[in-house]
Formats: sequence, structure tokens, C-alpha cells
Amino acid sequence: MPAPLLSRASARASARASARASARASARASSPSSSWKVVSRSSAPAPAPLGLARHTTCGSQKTARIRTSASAQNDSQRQTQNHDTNSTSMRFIVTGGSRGLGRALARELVANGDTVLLTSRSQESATKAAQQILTEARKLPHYKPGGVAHGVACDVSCAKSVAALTDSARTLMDGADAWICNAGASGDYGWFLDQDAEITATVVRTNLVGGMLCAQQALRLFQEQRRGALFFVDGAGADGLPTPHYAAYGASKAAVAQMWGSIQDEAKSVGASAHVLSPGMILTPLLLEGTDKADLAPIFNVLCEHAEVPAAFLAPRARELVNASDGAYVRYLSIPRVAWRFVTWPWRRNRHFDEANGLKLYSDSFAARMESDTRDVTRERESRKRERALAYAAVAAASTTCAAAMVVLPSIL
Amino acid sequence: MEKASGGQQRACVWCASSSSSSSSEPAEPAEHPRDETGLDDSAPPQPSRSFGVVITGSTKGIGLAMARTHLALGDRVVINSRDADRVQASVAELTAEFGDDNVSGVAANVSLAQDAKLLAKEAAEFLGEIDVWVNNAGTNGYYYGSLLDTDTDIMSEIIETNLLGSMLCCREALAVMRDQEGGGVVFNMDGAGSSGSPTPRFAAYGATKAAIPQLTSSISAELKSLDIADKVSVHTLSPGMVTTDLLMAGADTKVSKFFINILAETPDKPAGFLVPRVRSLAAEAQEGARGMQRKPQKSVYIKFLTDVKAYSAMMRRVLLGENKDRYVPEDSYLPFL
Repeated sequence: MPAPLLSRASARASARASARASARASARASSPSSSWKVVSRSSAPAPAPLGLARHTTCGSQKTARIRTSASAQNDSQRQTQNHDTNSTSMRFIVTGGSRGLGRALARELVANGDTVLLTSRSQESATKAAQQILTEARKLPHYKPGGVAHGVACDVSCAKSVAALTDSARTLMDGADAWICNAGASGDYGWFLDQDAEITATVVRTNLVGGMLCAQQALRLFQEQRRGALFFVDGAGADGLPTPHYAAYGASKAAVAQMWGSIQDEAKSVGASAHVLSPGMILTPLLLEGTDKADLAPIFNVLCEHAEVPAAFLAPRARELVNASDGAYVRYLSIPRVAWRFVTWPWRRNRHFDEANGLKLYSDSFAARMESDTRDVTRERESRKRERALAYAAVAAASTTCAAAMVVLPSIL
Repeated sequence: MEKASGGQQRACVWCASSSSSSSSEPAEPAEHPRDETGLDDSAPPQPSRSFGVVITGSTKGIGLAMARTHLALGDRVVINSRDADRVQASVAELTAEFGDDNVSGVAANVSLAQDAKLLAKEAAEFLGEIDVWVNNAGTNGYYYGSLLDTDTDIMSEIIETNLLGSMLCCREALAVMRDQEGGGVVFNMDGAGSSGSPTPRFAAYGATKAAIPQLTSSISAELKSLDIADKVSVHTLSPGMVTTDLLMAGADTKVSKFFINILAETPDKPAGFLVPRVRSLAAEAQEGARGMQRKPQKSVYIKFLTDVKAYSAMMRRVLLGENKDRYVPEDSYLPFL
């Protein structure tokens, strides 16, 4: 394990600049239908920097086209991949990956060199999102080549559609290491009493029926593989607190959080694990619609983030959890973090909204945001290291104190 | 109108009070004798007026028991179920006992928007004013087992009946009640999973029930914002474990038999506990709506089987062997366990 890590690190260090430059160039040069990616880097003993390795392995068995249509399932060229636990590339299914958090997670994973099968209700938007994510991923500061994105149409509230998604995953990726049940409907912002019954039904069916159907199919897939990780995505209401103006959404999320507990044993019994990803407060229409920006701007500035920021936090942790045996609840906006944000609020003023007049200060385009500032994403990406360092420091401090006490106490007594 | 139970006599007092005693006291008005209705001593003083009550899924189980208790206390009840035959049978049975004027039935599937609307409309026509609406309709598909083997149609049915059905009915009921002079109260039924604790053998049911208290609190918050919380209010009822088909379908493991014998009650017990409390909340809502006591109603969580009761029952079982083999025989080698 240390050897490949070392070689990878050195290769990355030497090739980083050139790889990124050539990646951008090739992104512009190649049309989406003919673009390609190296899938399995770990098994390619390339002595040359990675930027060049991509070109040398082009066209070999280790490459795969972006398969963005259902017809690609019939493609005889099956991608071969190293599935053992040490493999650096993982296979993810991300439902609802064409927008919002799902898209950001998919992008983050692709930038990590993973294979992602993202879904959307329409094939068109799934295909488009898969193509765009490959280009967008290059904009992330920690981009690594090798990622693949597939787009498949799926309505998570329909049992047949979800079963077909599992088949697509088998065909396109030869299974999946993790399944992120991200697809969710928020309904419209407004009084529950005035909500259209059809919208209420869509919210419940997408969030709860969809979550449960995906969980069932994922566990069946994982049972065959004897491994895998299932991720739910929580939301407002998951903690049981009231969610006025989006009552149906909150109730469905409260249900999802409970369901996570219910399927722990079952996931374990099939050799898999089930987790929850909590993205915190994302600047989405659901959150912002109908709110008084001028009044709430200070709060939004302190607590809210663009989807890519929690995604940069959650994706590496999700990857770590793929081989975990116990379920975890991964919270981006944990209570200590919220506390820290409020302590440091002067540095967060006028971040997203102008606090004087409530005007929006950010761009809706991911690319534009990355052009202007990538610090937030990098910081979240590196947060795992910081956490580890803090943990080591705490252990070191505790053991030092113990040792000191063992020396000092006898002499006092 | 007489003064119904005071504000202080709310949830906590009721919850803490014991309901196990069966001795009846003749404190009730003569026309509502307690022994007939199965009320216990802890019940709050009952308003003498009659309420219009809708109970969804009330052709069997706790729903039917609650309907019976309401009727015995002088209320008028609309029975509901998906199945027209079952509705007819239940209505015929209750009519024979309580008279034609007091019972009606509507066959409607609460998970369908148009059915929920129809139920509200027909109930309002029969009752005049809907004072109480209980979202009791719920199912677990009569299936206990792993999620892997759960039929997807049953899964959707469970979620749509329990959660979507409660949502749609809440909306329809509140829409009728907010325009009524006397306002009204809506109750959602909780169940296993409502506390957030895992329900591995019935994941779908548990998830929907976990959503119920959260839904109630969200709607309550909205009613407050809409400034109609003094007229209409939403509450949660917890009947505890009831020996209905839903529960008994799961009496197939040692652990479930153990807990069913200790904690489960026949439907009339929780109904006798919940209904008087429902009625006194309804009376409070009436006062609020008619301007006698204009203040927002707080959402109340009425629990029959409180934690204290559950733990004490478990202790009595373990220490004294109480309630062993009460409903289902347990195969165990130890005298008490």
C-alpha cells in the first residue's frame, strides 16, 4: 500500500501543472462524444508523468468512453476495472446527479478519478450533466484525471426504473461500490394548506419511496458483491424540528433519517453499510425562496454554502466509508462548526449576500465561482487532514499529560 | 358551554397518570357512564356537548375502538376505510348500537387526493361541522421481515397510506375546519419509529411514523404563522402497542412475543384513554374559535403508553413474571423470562 501511494504522490507532484494544463486543452479540443478517460490508473505502471500516461494508454482496454445513453448498455466493450479494496478508483451511483448537491458530489468524485453513474429523471439532462461534469471537474483545484461519468435516466419513485438503474450499473460499471440516494424533491415553498396534492405526492414519493426503493436495490446489489456502501442524504426536518413552508419535505427527511437506523443490521448482514450524508445549508431555491434576504443575509452569510463546498467535505469521507463496517452520520454543518462560524462571523460578512440591501453577490455558474475563488473548496477538501492532525494532537496531549502525571503524582504522594 | 378541562391539565398530567386501574367512579354525567365507555379514572372532565368526529381507517383496530368510545360519549362519527363492504358492515354494526343519526360511513382511500377531498366533503355534509378529525388509517402491509424481500408495491402502499394519506387528510380537514365557526382539531397517529428508534423488521412503517410528529410540528408552526392556531390545531396521538392485526402479524419471534405480552393492550384500553383527551382538546378549540379564549392552541402529544409505564411493565414482567403468555404463548425455559 505505501509504495503505490508514494509513487502516485511523486508522479502527481511532478506532473500536476502539466496535467492540468493539458487536461484543459484536451477538454476544449475534444468533442464530448469522442472524449475519453483513463479508468484504472492503479494498474497502469506508467513511469511517465500522469499527464502523458493518459495519452499512452488511450485506446487500450483500460479506457472507456463516456456512456451517456441507455443504448450504450449493449456496447460490447466492457470496461475492466480493479475492484479490490485497495483500488483507488471507485464506482458510485448518484441519483439526482444533474443538479444541486448530487451534481456537486458527482463532480467531486469524478475529479477524484472515480467512475460515477448519475441519474436524472430525463435521459437528456442526465447525458448533459455527465458531459458537463467531466469538464467542470477539471476546474476543481484538486482535480485528478481518470474520472468517468455516465448519465442514465431514472425515476427513483418507480420500482421498475430503479431496478433498471441497477442493471445499468452492472452493465456500465460492473456493479457499484457505493450508492448515494440523493434524488429529492423539495416541493414548492409555501403554506402546506395551499400546496397542490400532486406536489405533496411527488415529494413523498421521490424522497421516501425513492429512498426506500434505492435502498432495497442497493442492498440487493451489495448482497451479490458482498460489499458496498449506501448513502442517504438528509435535509431540514431530519432532526425532527419543524419545517414550516416545506412541511412535506421535512416530514420525508425525518422519515429517511429513521430509516437509516432501521436498515443498519440488514446492511451489515449482506456485507454492506448504510450511512447518512448531511450537507447542511446549501444556497438552493428551496432555502432561499420566499425569504427576506435583507433580514436573513447575515445568517445566510454565516451558515450557507454553495453545493461544491459540502461536496468537497462529504465526498472524501464517503469514499472512506465505502469499506466501513458500521453506519456513520456524516454532518457537514456540525454543531462545533456552526459555533465556529458564529465566532468568526466578521470574516464571513457579505460573503453571499450584501447585508445592507440583501443583493446576491455570487455567480450561479460553478465555473465562474471556481475562476474567482477556490479557497472554500480546497479548505473543505483538506479538512480531513486537519481533523486527523487535531486528533493526533489531542492524543499526544493526553498521553503526555498521563505520562507527566505518572511521574509527578508519586513524587507528590 | 361549560368550561372544559383547564389549560394546566394538559399532556404531562395525563401522560403521567396511570390508566391500569379498572375500578370505575360515577363522576360522569348519568348519560355517559364510565364503565360502558371504558374510560379510566385519569380522564379529564368531559364536555357534555356532542362533537362531529371523522376517523380514517376505522373499520377495525384502534380506529373502530375510538369510534365506539366517541359514540358512547355522545358524539357523531363518520367511519372510513378503503373497502366499501367493510365500511358498510361497520356502520351497520355501530348503527344497531348507537342509532342511525350518529353514524355514517364513507369509503375512501386516504392516499388519493380526490378521495380525501370526497371524505371531507361527505363528512362535513353529514356532521354539519367537523370538530375532530383523526388520521388513523395506517398499514404495515401485514409484513414483518427484511427490506430486501419487501414487495415494492406494499412498500409504496405503506408510505402512501401512512404518510401521504395523513398529509392529504390534514390538508382537507384543516381546509374545512378553518372556515367553520367552531374551528376544529386534527390528530395524527404515531406508531413504532415515531421516537426515531430503529424498526428493522418494518422499515417502511417505522419511517412513515417517524415523519408524523415532525409533520405535526411543521403544520402547527404554519397554523401559528397563518394566525389561525386559535381556531384549528394539529396534535399527535400515541396509542402505544395495540393487539390489532398489524401488531399480531409480527408475533413470530421470541423478542416480539415477549414485548407484545408485556406492553400490548386490547384496542378499547388506549381508545378509552385517548378519546376523552381528544374531546377536551376539541372543546378548547371550540372556545378558542368562538372567541371565549382566543389564544393559539399548543400542539399536544397524547401518549397512552409512556416510557415510565413501559419500563415499569417490563420490570414487573422480569421480576414477577406478570403478563407472561398473555396473548401469545412464549416458549421459554425460565419461569419468568
